Amino acid sequence: MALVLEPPTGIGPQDTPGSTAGAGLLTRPLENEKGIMSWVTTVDHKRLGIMYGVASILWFVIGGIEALFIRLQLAVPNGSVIGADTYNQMFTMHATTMVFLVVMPLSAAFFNYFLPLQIGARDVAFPRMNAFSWWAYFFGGIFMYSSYFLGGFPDGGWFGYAPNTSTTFSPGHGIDFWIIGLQMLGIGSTVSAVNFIVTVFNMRAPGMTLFRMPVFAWMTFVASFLLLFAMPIITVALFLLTFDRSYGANFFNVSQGGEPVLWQHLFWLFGHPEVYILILPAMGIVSEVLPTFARKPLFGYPVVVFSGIAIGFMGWGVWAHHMFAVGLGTVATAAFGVSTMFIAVPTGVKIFNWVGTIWGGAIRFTTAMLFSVGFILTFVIGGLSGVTHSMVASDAQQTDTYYIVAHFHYVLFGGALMGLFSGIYYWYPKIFGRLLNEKIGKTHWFLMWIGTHLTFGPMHVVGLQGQPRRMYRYDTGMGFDFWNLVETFGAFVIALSLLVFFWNVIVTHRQKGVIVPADPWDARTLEWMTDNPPKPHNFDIVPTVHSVDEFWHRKYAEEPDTHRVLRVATAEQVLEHEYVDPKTIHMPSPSYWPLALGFSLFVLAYGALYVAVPVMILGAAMLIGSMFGWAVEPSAEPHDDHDDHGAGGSDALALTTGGAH
Amino acid sequence: MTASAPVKTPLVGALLLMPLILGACASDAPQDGFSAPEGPIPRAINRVAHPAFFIAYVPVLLFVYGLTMYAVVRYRRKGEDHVPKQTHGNKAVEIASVGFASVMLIGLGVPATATYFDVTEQKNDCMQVSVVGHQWWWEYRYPAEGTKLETSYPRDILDPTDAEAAKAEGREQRKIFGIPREDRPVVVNANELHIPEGCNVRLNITSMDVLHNYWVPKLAGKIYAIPGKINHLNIEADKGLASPGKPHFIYGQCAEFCGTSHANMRFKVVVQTKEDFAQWRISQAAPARTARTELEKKGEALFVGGAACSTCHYVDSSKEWDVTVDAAKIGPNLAHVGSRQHFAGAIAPLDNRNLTAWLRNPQEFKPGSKMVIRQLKNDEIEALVAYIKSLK
Repeated sequence: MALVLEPPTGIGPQDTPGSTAGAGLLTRPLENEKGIMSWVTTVDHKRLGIMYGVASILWFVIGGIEALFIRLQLAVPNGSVIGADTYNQMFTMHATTMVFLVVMPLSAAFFNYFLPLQIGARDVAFPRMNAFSWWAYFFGGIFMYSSYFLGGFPDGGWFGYAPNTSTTFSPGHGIDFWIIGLQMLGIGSTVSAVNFIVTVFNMRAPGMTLFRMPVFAWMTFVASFLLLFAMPIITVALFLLTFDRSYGANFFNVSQGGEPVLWQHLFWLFGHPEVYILILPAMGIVSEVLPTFARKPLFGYPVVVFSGIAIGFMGWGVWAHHMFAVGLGTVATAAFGVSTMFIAVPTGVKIFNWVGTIWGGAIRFTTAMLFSVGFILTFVIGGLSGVTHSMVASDAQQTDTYYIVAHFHYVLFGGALMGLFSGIYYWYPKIFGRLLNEKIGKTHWFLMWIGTHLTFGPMHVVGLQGQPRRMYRYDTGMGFDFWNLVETFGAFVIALSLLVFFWNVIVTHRQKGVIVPADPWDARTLEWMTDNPPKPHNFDIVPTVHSVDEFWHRKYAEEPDTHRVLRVATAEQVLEHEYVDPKTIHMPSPSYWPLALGFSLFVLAYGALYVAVPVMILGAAMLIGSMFGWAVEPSAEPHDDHDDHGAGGSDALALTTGGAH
Repeated sequence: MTASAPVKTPLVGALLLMPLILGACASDAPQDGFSAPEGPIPRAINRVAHPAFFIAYVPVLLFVYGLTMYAVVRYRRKGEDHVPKQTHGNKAVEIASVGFASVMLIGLGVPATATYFDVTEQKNDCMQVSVVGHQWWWEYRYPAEGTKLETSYPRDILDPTDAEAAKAEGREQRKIFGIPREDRPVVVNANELHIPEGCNVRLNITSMDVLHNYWVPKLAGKIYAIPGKINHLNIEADKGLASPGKPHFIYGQCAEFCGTSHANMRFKVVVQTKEDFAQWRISQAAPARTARTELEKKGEALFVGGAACSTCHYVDSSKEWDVTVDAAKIGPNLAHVGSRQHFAGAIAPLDNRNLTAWLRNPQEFKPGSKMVIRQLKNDEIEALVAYIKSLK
């Protein structure tokens, strides 16, 4: 789908008045649709952001319940809460859910909502593809979870090491659900990666150069490139596995000359950049929150951005550090050890810059700020333990133990999720026009902080004492008993903290008539230069950008001699502008086709799983039909009182986003 | 909302938890290679791991915590009008932080890499043992005394049963996946690896099914067992761990997820004095004992007959699983099973109670176990237990 700057003239909807797309199959939803249909057919990046957020939080609850089952089983030696098979299913689904259905889409929620706002765009480059990404994610997740009713969850681990995933050792359909579900999620991720990259390249407001973009937008940009290049690798690996399982190929079958280690290379060549896909968005959020609440610009903005880019590049050269015990050969293994150490440099530099940001600031401790400072303090523990197992010799002792489990939970739970929660508290007033209750929020933070360290801190100890991962039971007398009980207790503290969070959401939304001021945090970036919540077209008049932290510079000015910073305008004054008739601003129209295309993948997936040819044909027919309907439907319906702007069968939004267009 | 003082207290309190958690290590942990190694290899590893932890990790952590906590306490907002100096960065600080991180990492990386090469290189080993992972137990293959068993792992070989037919038909001999005759070990056992103390044993590790990971924390790091591939691991137990007639048991465990009973794939390393080990090898190479008492005889009859144990189990310590000989013999070699302390993936001591429970329902004893056995009567189990225990 090409990006067109202006729609081709002479063709398009004016030839077919009313333009009910898709050969009359599905009548185009009305622009002013209300209720559930308006959500199902939406292509608005803000609504999709909310949909990503809600779905990922729901899956967070499910993944969390799985974690609680795991912790209950391990609370005491030789636990008997769930059996060996159920346990294996639980840890497989816990990890798969948390990575693919929680942290990635929760990051995507922020990408969706805030990337266009932060760079002064009216929407993403391809709004319908954006909606399709969400449906691919949603149906992919539902598909994978439907395995519970169709023979049991997958049980090969989220890493799915061959040959344990072959039909010989995993004869059921669980692994197939995992493979095909991941393929669907991969399609969604790849499409949205393209979308965000194009959005950053082409949709920025006037004056918004790349190096005036907020760091969160930058990290979205970097993470999108990582996604774009990483997802094809896992796609290939999963296809090979599908061929092995369903069609008798032998890619990973040793007795026929296959190579199980190949799977590991492919998986981690995807899997390690994936780690940075999970953490970079959170780093971006923290880089927004710290300056706002310290009332200081981000310390070393270019250094933080370049560190993010460096992490993005170096992330491709360290995958074999997941394979130090595989026996790749001493030289190869040592080389990957060294490359892994070096990726700690840009990461460490980021931490120092964050500390530099709050140093000398005027810190105000809101919940969002607590989560961000909490992010630094937990992430640094995970980062440093990462350095200890980049040393190959000692990693031979640590790999596959709870020490590693501690490490990546500090990075991904204490890191990524703390960062994302910081984002939730920070941007909640922007999204919903209401401030989350700060008192309850601080309780949430405190319980989560304590719970995190109680759960994952002791894992360092038992890991060094030799407790391997992924074991459904352990014997007494190994020195594991006490700390495992503490971990289970901690897990329930985390669960409690989430209940507090949900309570906060309920309390916040039960209050009536609360109006959030335009700029509740005295923020610095463009997304705050519009209403709370923003109108569908984001900005009545797209601002022209002159510097990093544009909003801040419109509110404050520095005296040239004394360097004293003085307030020159209130947020309300900055936001003031002449009336713009929303009808003059063209936004893409809602569409059924993203849903139809997503659903056809869902049908196709069941066909592929059971190798049921009629279902596959049905799914393929739906897929082609949806694509056709999509192709002939203009991205925006022409307004009666306006020209044909925005139409023409392309998904591309007009790129010039000036006000009265 | 202004900066609120009550936040400080929980924050500081929470931070105080960290050293408590990290600092307190329980002492009695039989799989602890970090603080209680029993061989020179983990000690060499710890010579880089301990400084990394205590000289690098903890001080850097405290440094970052100190800076952050200082900033958090010191630089609070003093009223709505308080706008601090707008610092955009500092070149010296950036260079210093890159330099600091780089120097620290080089300081860790050089000795760590050197140690890695050191512990993995082939030493002047006193013995080689082939280690084969199965779902969910380990098989060991020992060479005859004075020989080295470097290649006893299955691979593509010419099928000996096809030699004449191929010659007659004038075609190339068929290839199969197996072990050549000349590489055959003299002693095969399961679950318990016997090694002499004070000498370097090189393990040649592979797998028969899925990936496994061989780990004796107190003696060495881990290495994967991968089907179709052979990996090497040096292990060495300190001199003085065992005394004559009194072996020393060290805990080991499969560390890579390998299916249902991954948690039940444990093993023991039995460290013996050199003399005891030599004695053990002779006794293990001997033919299996025949049944003596009535009960044992009844058990033996069941073993080869009614209970069909011998379909899958050899009672001949010179035989290992080999598809070219008998593809059905997938169970552990039971020739001298009565001399072992543990069974069923070394999850339980070999005694009457456990054996009875095992024979009654192997899958309940060890979930997913591949052992197939018909429902036995109580007296049949009693006889079989007696026979199995008599196989010293």
